[in-house]
Amino acid sequence: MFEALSSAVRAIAYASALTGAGSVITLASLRYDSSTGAAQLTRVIRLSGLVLAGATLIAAALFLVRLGGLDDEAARTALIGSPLGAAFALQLFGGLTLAAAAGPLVRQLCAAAILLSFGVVGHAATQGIVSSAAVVLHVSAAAWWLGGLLVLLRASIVMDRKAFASLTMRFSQQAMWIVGLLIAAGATTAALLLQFRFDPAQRYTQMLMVKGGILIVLLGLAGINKLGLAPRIAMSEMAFAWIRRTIQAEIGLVAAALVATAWLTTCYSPHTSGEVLHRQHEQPQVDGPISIIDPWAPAMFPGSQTAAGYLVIVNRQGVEDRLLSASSPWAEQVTLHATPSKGGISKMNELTHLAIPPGKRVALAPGVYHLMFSGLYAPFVEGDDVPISLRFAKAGTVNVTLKVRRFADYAKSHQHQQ
Amino acid sequence: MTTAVQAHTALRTANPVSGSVLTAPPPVLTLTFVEPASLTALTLVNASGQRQLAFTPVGSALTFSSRRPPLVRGRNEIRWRALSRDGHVIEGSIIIVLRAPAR
Repeated sequence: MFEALSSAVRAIAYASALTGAGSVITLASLRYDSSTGAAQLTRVIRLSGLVLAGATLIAAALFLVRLGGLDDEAARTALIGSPLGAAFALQLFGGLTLAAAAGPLVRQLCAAAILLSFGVVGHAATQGIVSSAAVVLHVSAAAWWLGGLLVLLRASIVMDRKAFASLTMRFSQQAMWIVGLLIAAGATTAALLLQFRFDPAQRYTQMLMVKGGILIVLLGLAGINKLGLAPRIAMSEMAFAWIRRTIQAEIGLVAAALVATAWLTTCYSPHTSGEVLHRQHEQPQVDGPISIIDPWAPAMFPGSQTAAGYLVIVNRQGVEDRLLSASSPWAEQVTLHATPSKGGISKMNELTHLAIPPGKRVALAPGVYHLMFSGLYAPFVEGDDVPISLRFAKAGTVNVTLKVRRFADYAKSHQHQQ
Repeated sequence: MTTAVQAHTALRTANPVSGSVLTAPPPVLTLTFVEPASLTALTLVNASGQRQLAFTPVGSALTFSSRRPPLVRGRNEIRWRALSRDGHVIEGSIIIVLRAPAR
């Protein structure tokens, strides 16, 4: 809930930052004649500044609430003293000044401050000056693109077709370079963030691929505009009508890329990822003469006196090994049990040992074998890590950590397998 | 939601480590992060309820400590919350079990 709200606020902040700063820089780079409908664009810039300042304040408040409360001293100190606080300050003052400013120079300074804020904090900024610079270039190029599209859309209403055609040509000449910069800076940032490891199983990488996909469609539309429609605007009414539609579609795609980015930067991190959880099911936690796969324990029901533990033992030795005993600091006693089911009735038998044939695996799983914990010092709660020691006749002591999970999750995944 | 929280969890180690079973409360509890972070809340949840723990230092650091955490017999969960260097709220918890001294 908080994450969805945070990423929505962030998407609004991104959109207003890029609209405001982008319009300012494209007006300058396209040498836009301020006598034709610039008042409307100025209103857009002012509104963007105001929305940015508002979104920044809300984002800062959300951070404070999550860190411990709006009036919490430690949370406020942490936020103000952090790079995040500096980025918020740049966006807040940049946005407010943009909303109030009249002169082009002040506006351009505000645009620069807003764009720089993207290099102050975030995954990229943490990685060093190169990725920080790359992300600022990437965001600036994206801002120029979005601003340019908005300026073109406005110009298509207020300009005659000939003037609009020449503005479009100027835009597309500059766009070649700036879009090239956008891609190069974006790819550099992504490569540095992922530390040159491309792993499509990672959520962060997947989200970056979504952004890449949006970019490819965007480039396709831009190509149609540049090669097919722009050269014909002056002569063809239909080309003029179509280019307006493709510009609107491009703005929609940029908005989609912004939402994807906001979701990505709020909810995912390039450093670690959710698939760790996924993989531990098959990857051995301990690898050696004896390997242990997926050691886990079901969370205990209230009032239970004992707990169970499960794991898969793989014997990689050329000879038979035997599990002799187990112990855990969490319990006075850990014993090994078989759970044979005879005529639908489960009965438990304590075992003195469990033989693991050479090269084979034996699963301690519900309904077969389990470790039983008695005399517990604390109950097993979902999310706990419970250390245990297993003693084998040949391989010696093997230490593993049981991950406490809900039994329902096991039952669910077990059903899927059958 | 679990994955999102995990994704930003950047605790390198805790002393005592999570999952420890002790016979007496530790004189000091320390949390060490992978990267400098600002700890903003440290909450102890156990059989006697929930309470905020004091910690030092205030502001950005790698290691934070809390002196004489009032752990009780049984399960003690210490929930921490911090602002990471890359601008995310990160959180997690460590579990320390306190048992009777060996007979």
